[in-house]
Amino acid sequence: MAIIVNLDVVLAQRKMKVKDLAEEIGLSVVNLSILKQSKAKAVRFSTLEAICKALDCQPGDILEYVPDEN
Amino acid sequence: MKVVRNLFWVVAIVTVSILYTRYVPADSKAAFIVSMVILSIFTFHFAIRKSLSFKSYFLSPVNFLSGKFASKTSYDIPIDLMFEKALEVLEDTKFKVQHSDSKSFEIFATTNMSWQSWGENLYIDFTEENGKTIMNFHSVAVMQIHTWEKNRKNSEHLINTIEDSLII
Repeated sequence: MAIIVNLDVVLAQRKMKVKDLAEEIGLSVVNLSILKQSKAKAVRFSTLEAICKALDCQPGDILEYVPDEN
Repeated sequence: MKVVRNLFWVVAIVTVSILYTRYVPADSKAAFIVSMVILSIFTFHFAIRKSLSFKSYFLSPVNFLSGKFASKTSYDIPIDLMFEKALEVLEDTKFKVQHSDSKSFEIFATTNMSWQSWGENLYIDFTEENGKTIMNFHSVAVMQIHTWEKNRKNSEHLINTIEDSLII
C-alpha cells in the first residue's frame, strides 16, 4: 500500500483513544479502525477534515505516501 | 439465462396447477392429504425458521422446498473488523439480526414476509484464507422452491453496501 495512514501515531501523540475520536467525529469505531489499518477504499474530505479538527493536525500528519518497492 | 430459468418455473407452476385441479377433485381424500402435507411443512418451517439449531436443515441440499443461494467474497480486512462491519451494515438493511457470535464469527439474520417472498434466512460466517477474510454468505427462502433471483439480489445488495461503507 503506497498510502500509509498514521492515525495511530497521531492518536498516541495526543494520548487519545480510537473510541474517543470516533465519538467526537461521529464515526463508528469499526470504520475508524479500518481507516487506521489503511484498509479503507477511500477517505472523504469531510472525514479528513473532522479528524484534523479533532486532533488539531494537518492531513499530511495522518496520510503519508511511501513508494512501493516493486 | 435468468429469464429462461424464471420462464421455466412459471410454466412448471402453471402446468402443475392445471394438472392438479384437472385430475384431483377438490373434495377428494387425495386433495385433503396434499393440502395437509403442504400446510404441515409450511407451519413447521415457520415454527423453526428463527432457530439457529436448524441451520443445517435449511442449508441442506435435501431440503428442496427452500430455495438457496451461496456466495463467497474476499476482503483485505482483518476478520474481527469484517465481522463488526457486516453487523453494522446489516443494521441498516431490512435484515433483522437474530444471532451473532464474535468468537465463531457467525451471523444469523432474517427478513419478514413480503409480497415477493415468505421470508428469508441469512447465514453469514467468516473464515481466514491466505491472510484474507472470506465472507461466506448463504441465503435461504423459507418456503419457496424458486426465489426469482431475490436471494442473489439480496447478496449483491449486501456486498455492495459493504463495499460502499468502506469509503470512510
